[in-house]
Amino acid sequence: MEEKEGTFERNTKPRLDDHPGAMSASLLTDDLILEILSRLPARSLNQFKCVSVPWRDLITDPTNRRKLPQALAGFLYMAVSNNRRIHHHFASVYGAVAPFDPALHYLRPNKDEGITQVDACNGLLLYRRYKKNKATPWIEDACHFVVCNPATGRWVELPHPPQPQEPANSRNHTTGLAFDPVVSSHFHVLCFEYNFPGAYIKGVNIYSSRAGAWSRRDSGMVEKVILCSKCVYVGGMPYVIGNLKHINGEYVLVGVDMEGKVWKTIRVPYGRSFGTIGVSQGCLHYAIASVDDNNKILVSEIALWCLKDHDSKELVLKHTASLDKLMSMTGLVYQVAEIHPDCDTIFLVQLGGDTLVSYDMRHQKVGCILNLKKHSIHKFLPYVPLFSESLAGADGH
Amino acid sequence: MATREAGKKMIMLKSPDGMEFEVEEAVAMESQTIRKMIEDDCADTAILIPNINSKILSRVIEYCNKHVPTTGATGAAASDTVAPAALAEDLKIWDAEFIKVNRATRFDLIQAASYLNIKGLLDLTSQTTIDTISDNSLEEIRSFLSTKNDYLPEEEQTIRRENQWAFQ
Repeated sequence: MEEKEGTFERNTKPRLDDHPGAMSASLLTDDLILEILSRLPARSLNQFKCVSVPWRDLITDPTNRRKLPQALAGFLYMAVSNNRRIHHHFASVYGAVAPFDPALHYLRPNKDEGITQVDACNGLLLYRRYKKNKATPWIEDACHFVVCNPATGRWVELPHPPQPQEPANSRNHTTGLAFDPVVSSHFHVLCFEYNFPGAYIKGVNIYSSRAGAWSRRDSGMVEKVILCSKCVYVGGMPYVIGNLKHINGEYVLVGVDMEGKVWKTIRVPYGRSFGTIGVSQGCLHYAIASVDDNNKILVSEIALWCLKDHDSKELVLKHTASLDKLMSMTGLVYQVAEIHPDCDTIFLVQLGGDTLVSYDMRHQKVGCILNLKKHSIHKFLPYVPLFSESLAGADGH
Repeated sequence: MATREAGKKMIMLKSPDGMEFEVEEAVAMESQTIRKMIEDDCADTAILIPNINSKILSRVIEYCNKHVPTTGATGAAASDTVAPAALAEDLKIWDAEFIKVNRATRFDLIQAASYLNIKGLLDLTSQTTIDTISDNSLEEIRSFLSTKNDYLPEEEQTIRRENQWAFQ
C-alpha cells in the first residue's frame, strides 16, 4: 500500500457510489468511518448530515444509527382532557415527525390500567402503570414501574418496590431512571423515600436490572434534605435538587451513587423550586432565574450553570440571558422547562400557556416554538432515541 | 536478526513488503489480534500482518513499545520514582507528537489499529481525526473530505433547517 499524500479518493464501494460525487476517505471502509463518527457528539453528527447525500445516508442508515449517538427528537409530556383523562403527547423539535406513538398502547393491554410518564434517560423511558380506580379515578393504586425503549418497542416490567408506598402520595415520590448504553445495557431505577411528616429524604430504593431486584438504603446525608426536583443521571450518578429547610433554607444538589452508599451535596446558586436540572454535553446543567444585588428574583433573566466535572463541588456560570424582549413581544412570563442535551439551548414554557420556546443561550436568540396540547402538565421528558436492540431483562416486544 | 534478550520471549512480525520486525511478546500482545494468535498457538514462527506496510507497521510497533505496561523493559517508564499521573501526562505528550502525521498516514494507522485491534491507537487516531474536522464549517468539512455538496437546493434547505440547531 502506497502512501497517498493527503488526498481522499473516490470511494469505490457500491453503496456510496450510488450517489454521484460520493467520496470518502480512500483508505477507510464504512466500518472505520462509523468507528470515527461514533466518537462525535450528536451535534457534530447532525452537521455531517448536511455535508452530502451519501454522508446523510451513512449516518441515518438504520443499521448504522445503532452505533451512532442520536440527537434530541423532542419532549414527551401529558395533558389532561376535560373528562380528567390523561393523554400522552410528543412535541417534536426541528420539524421532525414524532418517532413513535406516544400513547404506547402495548404497555397497557388492560383497559382498566393507565400509565403516567415518570422519567427518560438516554433513550429509555420509565412509566408507572396503575389500576384505574373507578370511584376515584385520580388515585393510583397497585402501581408498577415499566421501562421501555420506544425505538425498538422493547419493554420490561419491574417487580413491586419493597415497601408499600402511601397511596395518597405515590404520585409525588421522586423516581428516576439511570441508564447509559455506552457503559451497559443494564439500568437502575431509583425511588426516593420520604419521611412523614417532614418530607425529608429518608432513603432510596434502587432497582438493579442486573440483580432483578430492589434494594433499600438509608440516606447517607447528615442534613435533613427535602427533595424538590426530578432526578437527572449524569456521569454514573443520579442527582436531584434538595432544600435544607431545617438548616438555612438553601438549595443543594444531591448526588447518590448506584449502590446508595455514597451521598454528596453541592450548594447551588440562587436555588429555588423552579430552577431545573438537566444533562447537556455530558455535564449536569442547572438553569434558573437570576437574582439581583438585593436578592430579588429577576424573572426575565435566566442563568445557565454547569457542573464541569463530577468531582467538582461548585457549579460554574456559563451564560446569562435576558428574556425581556421575548416577554415584551408576547406579554407572557416564562419558566425554564428543559435543557437541550447537545447545546447551550434551554426550553422555556409559558406560564399558563401552551407553547414551548427554545432559547439559544450562547447566541441570545429565540429558536423554534413548539405548540403543546391544551391543559398540558408542565413536565417534559427530553427524548433522544436509542436504536440499539439491547434492553436488559426485556420480556415484552 | 536481533538477539534474544534473556527471559523475554520475542515474536517476529512480517509486513507484506517483506520486512521483518522482532518485538517482545508483551509489546506484540498490545494488539488483541496478535494476542489471540499467540494464545491460540498460531504464532510459533513469524506472523504475517497483511495489508499493513512496513512503514506503518514500524509506527504501530513504536506505539505499542511506548504503551506496553511498565513491567516490561521500556526504559525510564519502568522506574518506580515516576508517579502514575506524570507517566500518563508523559504518554499524552508522546501521543500528541506521534500523531503529527499527514492525513493519509493517519488513515493507514486507523486501518492498522482496527485490524490489529489496538484500542488505544484506534482511540487516538479516530479522536485526532474528529478534532480536525469537528467545529469546521460545512465547506471546510467538504473540502477536507474532498466531497461535493450533491444536495438539491430544496433538499439542502430542508436538511439545513432540520439540523440548524447543530450549527449554533
